[in-house]
Amino acid sequence: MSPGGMAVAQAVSSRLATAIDRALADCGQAIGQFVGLATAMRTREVLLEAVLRVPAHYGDLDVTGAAAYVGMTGDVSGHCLLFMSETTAKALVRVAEETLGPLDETLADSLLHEFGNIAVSAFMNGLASAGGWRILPTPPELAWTVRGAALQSLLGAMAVETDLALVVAAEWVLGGRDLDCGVLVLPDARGLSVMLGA
Amino acid sequence: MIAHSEGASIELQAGLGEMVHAGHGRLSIHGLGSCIALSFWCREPRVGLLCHIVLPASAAGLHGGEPARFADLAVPGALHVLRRQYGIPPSRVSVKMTGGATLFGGTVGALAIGPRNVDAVNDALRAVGLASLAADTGGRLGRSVLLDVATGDLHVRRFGAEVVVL
Repeated sequence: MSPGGMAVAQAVSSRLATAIDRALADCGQAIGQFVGLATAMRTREVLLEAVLRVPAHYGDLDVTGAAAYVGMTGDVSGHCLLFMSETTAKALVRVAEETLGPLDETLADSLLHEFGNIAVSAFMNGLASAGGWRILPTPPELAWTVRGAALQSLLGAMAVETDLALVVAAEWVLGGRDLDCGVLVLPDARGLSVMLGA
Repeated sequence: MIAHSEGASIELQAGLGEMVHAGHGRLSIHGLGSCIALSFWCREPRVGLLCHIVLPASAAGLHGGEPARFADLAVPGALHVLRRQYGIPPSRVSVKMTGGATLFGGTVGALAIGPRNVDAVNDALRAVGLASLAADTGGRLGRSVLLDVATGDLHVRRFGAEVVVL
């Protein structure tokens, strides 16, 4: 945690944290069903942070990998990003190849796109259900890039209208192994207000 | 925050909205998407300055405490630092830039900030009588950037493509 991060106020954090816990659990369950392995996603930290300081919470910004992006509209509007390192992405493809057989690059990309779609959609559905909000996802997008570029592209959009972001950092265990995969939820100013007022 | 150092081998990183400068060593930005890396370099005295610009224009209601958050403030801010701290006038600096990609959301809408950032930086440079000597901007690529203060070379590592030196 960066020194500048402040914990979400206690009065609202327990409800919000519960909603996020449930959303991550749903996300982990959906991933587990997709890959056919025991999977768990747990909250590592939830806090409010200055938008421009968010990257400090996400480790090495030069790590390459796959970024799955879904925009949020409805009661809670904003952005949702799932980033998995290249190592994690390759591990997922290997797991899939055990049942599907060898996958070429196009099929592997398609698999990761579907994986990102399932994971982010499950997270958002879980969040909407737990928080009692109506959240409508935009069509998912997948980009191969570096972690810092994916984060920064969304934070730049956020910084147009707000100085504060909600940081959700998660731990992901797949088949007993810790994987480098993070979820970033960036409600815009209106969405953040709705979530904190929960 | 403005950081600077005189160490020969040091690498200073510019976070979002930050400006770093030094007389030696390397200046870097790790993970550049829609943002702009804007470098200023002077051969004599040897000084490099790197801005990590996030948005095109300053806006009311945002504190904007970071010196390079907005293109329209970052360019005059950088020139002010070069003149005040190193005695370097704008006529002696060479300027290069990279970044301005669009990773998500197509070419319009809230996420299409990259091209607007590129235009805003060019406008801000033009307003002070400068132009970018070299640029590698746009596309859907993430980039990481390193400015070698000794040479003024701007090394741009582009994910999924070759490294370019501006």
